[in-house]
Amino acid sequence: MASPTATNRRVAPSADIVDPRVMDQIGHLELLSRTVVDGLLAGKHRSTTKGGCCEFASHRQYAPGDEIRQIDWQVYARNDRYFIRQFEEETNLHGIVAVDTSGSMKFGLSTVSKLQYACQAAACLSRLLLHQRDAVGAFILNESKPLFVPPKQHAAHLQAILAALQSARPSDAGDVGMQIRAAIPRLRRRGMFVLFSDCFGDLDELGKALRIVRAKGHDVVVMHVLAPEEIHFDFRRWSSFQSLELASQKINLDPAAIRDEYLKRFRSFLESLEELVTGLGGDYVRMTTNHDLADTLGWFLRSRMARS
Amino acid sequence: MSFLSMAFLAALPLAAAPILLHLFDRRRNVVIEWGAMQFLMEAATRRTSARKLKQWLLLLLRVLAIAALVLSLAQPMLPGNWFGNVERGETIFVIDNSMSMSRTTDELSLFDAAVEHAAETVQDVPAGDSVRVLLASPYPTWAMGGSMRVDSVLRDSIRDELQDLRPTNGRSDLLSALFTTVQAEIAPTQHKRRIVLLTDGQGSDWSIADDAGWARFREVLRSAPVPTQLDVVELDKNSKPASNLAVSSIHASRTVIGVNKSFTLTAQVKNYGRTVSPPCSVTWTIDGAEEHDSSVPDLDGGESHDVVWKYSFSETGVYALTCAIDSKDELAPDNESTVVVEVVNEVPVVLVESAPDLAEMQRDAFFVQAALGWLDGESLDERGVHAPTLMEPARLERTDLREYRAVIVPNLTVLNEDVVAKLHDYVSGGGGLWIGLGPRTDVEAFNQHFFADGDGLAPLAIDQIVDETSSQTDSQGRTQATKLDPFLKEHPATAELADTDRLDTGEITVSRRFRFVPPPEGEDVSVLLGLTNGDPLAVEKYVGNGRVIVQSIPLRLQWSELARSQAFVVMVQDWLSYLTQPQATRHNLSPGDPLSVHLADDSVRDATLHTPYGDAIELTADTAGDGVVFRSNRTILPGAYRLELGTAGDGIPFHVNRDPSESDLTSLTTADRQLLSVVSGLSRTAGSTTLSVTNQTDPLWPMLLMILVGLIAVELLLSGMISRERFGSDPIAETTELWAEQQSGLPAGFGRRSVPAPATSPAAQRRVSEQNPHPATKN
Repeated sequence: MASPTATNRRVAPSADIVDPRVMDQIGHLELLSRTVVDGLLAGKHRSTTKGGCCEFASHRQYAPGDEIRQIDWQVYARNDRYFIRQFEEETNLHGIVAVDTSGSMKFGLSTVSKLQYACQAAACLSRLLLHQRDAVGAFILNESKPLFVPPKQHAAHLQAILAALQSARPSDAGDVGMQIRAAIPRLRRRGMFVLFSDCFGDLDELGKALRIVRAKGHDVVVMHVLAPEEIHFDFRRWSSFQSLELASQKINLDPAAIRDEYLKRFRSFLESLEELVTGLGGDYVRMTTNHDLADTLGWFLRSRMARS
Repeated sequence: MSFLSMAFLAALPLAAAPILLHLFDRRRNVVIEWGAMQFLMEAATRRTSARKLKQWLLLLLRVLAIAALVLSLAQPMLPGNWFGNVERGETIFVIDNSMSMSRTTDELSLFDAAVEHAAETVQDVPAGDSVRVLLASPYPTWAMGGSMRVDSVLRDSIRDELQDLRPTNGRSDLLSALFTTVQAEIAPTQHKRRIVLLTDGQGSDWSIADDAGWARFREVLRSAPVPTQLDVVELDKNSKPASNLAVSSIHASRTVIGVNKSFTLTAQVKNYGRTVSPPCSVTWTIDGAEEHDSSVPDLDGGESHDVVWKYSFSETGVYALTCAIDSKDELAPDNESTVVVEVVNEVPVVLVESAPDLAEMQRDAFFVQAALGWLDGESLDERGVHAPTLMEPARLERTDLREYRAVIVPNLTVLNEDVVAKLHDYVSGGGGLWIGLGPRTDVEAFNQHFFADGDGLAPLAIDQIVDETSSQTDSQGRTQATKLDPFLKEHPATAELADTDRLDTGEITVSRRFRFVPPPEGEDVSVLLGLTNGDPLAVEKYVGNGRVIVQSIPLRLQWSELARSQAFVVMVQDWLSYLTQPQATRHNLSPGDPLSVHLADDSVRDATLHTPYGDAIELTADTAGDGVVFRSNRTILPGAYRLELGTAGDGIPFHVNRDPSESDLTSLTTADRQLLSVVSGLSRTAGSTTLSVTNQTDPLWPMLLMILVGLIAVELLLSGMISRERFGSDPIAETTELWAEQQSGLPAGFGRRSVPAPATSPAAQRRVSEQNPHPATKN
């Protein structure tokens, strides 16, 4: 039997990461898969199997051996031909939240760090998925200590996910594409892959990794987490910029003098990333740490529900 | 190059301040731990050289701007003509319009020749230059309303205005005129000045004796703000000396005269030339009407002749009497001279008698009354203009003395302090006081109240009574009586007494008198009458506007024979005229003397003063006592003035006398010119032109200030350009939601809420506020 202290330890992560105010605002929403998924139980998501009870899928011509009860008699009355009605079966989802813990995710000047913001967002989505009876797992993408929590459906599994998110610590360097590719073998069933990352690094490598994930049938969502300073670069005075990933990388410059050039490159990067994600059929969501998480997630869930 | 304020150059190192601030700012940068290094590294390697060039150019502009400001404060001067010869200049014509310029040579007056010369010179003045005209007489005055820019239209206008100028009857001071022109302000656009002095070369106008003044002028010319060229044009080309016969002055024995009282007019006619002048006739006119003729014999060069005329008026009034000679000399305006006299019925005076009960011959006031033509308070047929009112000392305190022109105390007894104070006020206001010391005069009281250590009414303290009967002995041991010495000193009040041919002034013996305490060493006292032993008998003092005469004897015969002498009557009349003069209206003035007329009728509030030039000056009356006073200082021009009162047309004549030295047409001698050359630096060149050019420096700071303005403008332009490059980029949408809203036209802030700053460490918060003055949420 767990001691009260141990219980507190288990409860505490939830209180830190899962913001009740955020959950109040997004709790009534649903995260639905845009692709068909392989679930074992009945759920909200379209399944690869066809059933006979839920949602109409299509008609096909009758063939000997088909059950007579499946013939659509109204079509027969109009066309004098036998057609069989096919229905989609709905099942539950295997969602994976992957959080990038590279050094650049540690950045946070006027707001919380990007990693902290990403963990809060991942925790809220995990709770939402569990709430709608989907199985949720977690990847902590780390160069030295990667962590994987396999997807499970029961509500108590949330604590395991939250503990994994809580334990996420930024590493020095790391390519998020390589780490995703390393994690792909663990994704056995088709489901939803939600990546929380700033995506800094080799964009081609990230593209390759996401294409593989998509090819395996996963619905890909890239939650692009950025800090407002990275977007606006509104520094006025001479500064010394020290890299969060490479200790040897340091540059002393007048930020205002290169702002124009910086923004041009940053904008180009954002456009390339968005094009990459949407090109492979995934969802790209940019979120900035100075914005309310409830607003950003709420907008994402509403727009996704509207599209599905 | 020189600097007027060298001390400001000490601030020149401040020009390095922008560079130092820039380097200091680079050194105190803060460290930021940054994630998106890949974009930063790429951006930092692009366009660095162009950016640095702009930055260093901006720093250079700021350095130059501060340097230009400091240098302009130091007021640098560059050698003259450093900027070439395209600058504009100014020509100033100084026209000597004194009376001597009125003389005619070659059927054209010298003044007209001067105007013609100026008009011709204006034709040669380059277009764009300025022209000014200064008239030298009676004092330097700018004519034609100041500076005029020469162009084709204005050339004719300037010529017309030059033709309107006229000479005066005054004299000119060319030194003052030259000072005025050299020190006149010059417009910043003008960089040289030419002064053309047009004169007849009359020696008296040049103030040759004023060595210090000419030396100072030399310094002023040398330190003139712009290069100055001085041309002196002497218009009198005649080599032979000019002949000029003039009425140099006219003198009236009295200017306030009683009705039917004769007075003497003396006109001095002088030959200012070197050759003998022919005889000529003299005409006396009163208010323009000819009254008397006489003649002047031929006069040698420099010789003068007095023309005397006795006259009396039968009616009261103010009359202008003019003496004119019929001479055909070169200078006409000085052929006449005018004096203005006032004819009155009587002039009230107070006569104080302390012992009215004594016999006639024991009363000192009796002798004064008799001399004025009064007996027992009644006037005789032959009375003077002064009407005495006899009163005792006690009544003096209660009497309003403003109604009287003079107070006579022929035998001073004791007067209390209040009376002395009253007399002091009375004299200060312009009244006259005549005190005769007598046997009952208290020496101590007199010295205390009347002398008062020099602050009182009496000019000297008195010592004691001295007996003169045995005081003088001749070389043979015989006793000689002490007599009056009429020739002791020239004084206007005793001028007629000195005429011993007609009067017995020199025969009057003095047997007893008070002795004055001699004045301290170095101080002088005005003496009217003296004694043969050298001691003063009557002394005077000016107190305020009035005059006081203290006589050391009473009039009674035990002390002197003065009262019974022939000269006594003249003396009383003359002295009273002298004492009452300050309260009388001055009708004969010197140039610049204030004109003041007191009228008992206070209903007249406005008057018009007509000047010799024909100008009409409106005057407004000031209230003074029971009447009004009209005052004016516009009497600088010699000649006839007329004050017209109200609308009645009554005119009071005044005359401002001209300077007799202006009739002396003697030109500058060679010695004078040499002296001028030595003292002032004026050097004579060929012809009649003298030339002096000063090498001056040009101020550089106006140009520096213009450069400063230009530098600031370029700096602002470049700063704006760099700022636009730095912060002019389009913002990037912070979230996909915002991006979608921007695409769909919804407001950018729709559905957005700010996130409170995290509870990070204070050091991190400080770093954020230092680095990011504009939080990203506001962008």
